[in-house]
Amino acid sequence: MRVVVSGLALNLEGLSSEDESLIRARYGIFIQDGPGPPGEPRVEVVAAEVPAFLVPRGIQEGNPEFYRLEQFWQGDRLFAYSYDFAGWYDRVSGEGQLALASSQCEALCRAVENFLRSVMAHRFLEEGAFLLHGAAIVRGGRAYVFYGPSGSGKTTVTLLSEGGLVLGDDLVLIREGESGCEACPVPFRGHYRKPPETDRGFPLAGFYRLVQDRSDSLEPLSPARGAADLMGSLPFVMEGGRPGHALEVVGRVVSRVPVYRLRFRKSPDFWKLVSEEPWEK
Amino acid sequence: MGEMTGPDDPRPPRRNPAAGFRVFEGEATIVLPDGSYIQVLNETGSRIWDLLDGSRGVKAIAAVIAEEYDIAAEAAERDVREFVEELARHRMLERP
Repeated sequence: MRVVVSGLALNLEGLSSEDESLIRARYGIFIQDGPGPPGEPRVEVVAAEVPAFLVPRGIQEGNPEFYRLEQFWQGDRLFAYSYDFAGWYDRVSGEGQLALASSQCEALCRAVENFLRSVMAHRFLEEGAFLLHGAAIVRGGRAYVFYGPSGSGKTTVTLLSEGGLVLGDDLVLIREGESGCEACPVPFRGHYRKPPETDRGFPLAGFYRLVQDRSDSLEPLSPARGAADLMGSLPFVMEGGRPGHALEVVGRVVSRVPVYRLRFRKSPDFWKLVSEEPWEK
Repeated sequence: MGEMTGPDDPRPPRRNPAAGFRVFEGEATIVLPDGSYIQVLNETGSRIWDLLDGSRGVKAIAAVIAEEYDIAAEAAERDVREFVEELARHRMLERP
């Protein structure tokens, strides 16, 4: 099974046909049939020989954690693990292994997805692009990227944006394309049910840091503040990764695309503010 | 990587070479190598950061700031010292 996101491919080998069907249904257009070119990155999926790799914290206190994924680098090898999976990926050889502790549908999809999120986040950064914890909506041919931590309103914004093409409500890929900076959909999503309908990139209109408030307002951030703010919403690559390289990559983008702080109510009215701003720098 | 330094270290302070930084329109964004600290420096802070190349001590840096920004030498030295202290606390500096 070959997962291809914005031209970056990863082959998952060893999945049962039943598991492949589950992942195919979730990732839709991001699964390509047929073998890729020789030497393309591949991850072997195996059954774990232990029941779990992490024990959730806070259960005894009655306050279990929401989710935890640990990762670290050893040389060129990235290790990532959570409750029900452990895996590694070697960025030089392009080889990896993913051990799954559960074959139940939901756990399997979550484990595969979280491992892929981590590996792809690092791979994209090496390619000069980055995954951002954000929702992206296309209007008038341009992508508006709303970002912030969990609970900041990314899914809410997608639900308040009737008529727009939703590229994602949790993660979006930012890259420099032939015609400028672009937002591209990825197969990883949050609460939004629909998988992306396209895998193409759209020119960026701007980045909008979401802050829920009682009224709508838009405040431009300087490129330095915009870069720092965006860096706080890069998943996986800041811990044990190469933050200096991340700053270089993000810096190139914020030099060309404006960043704002958007205070908004739960109303589509924020689009009036957002649409009036010039998108070119 | 060398040992971390502070404002009272007699050796000239130097930027942690593993830290990432980029200057945008006079403001610098700096990030620690482990990603645990991201900071935006204003124009003066960015100039001080630029001067922290290991060739000057705090007094010499303060003298440059006092001249370029037309402020009293004592005030400049106090501000530079505080700033260097903060950077050192966040492991953004090291001994040459």
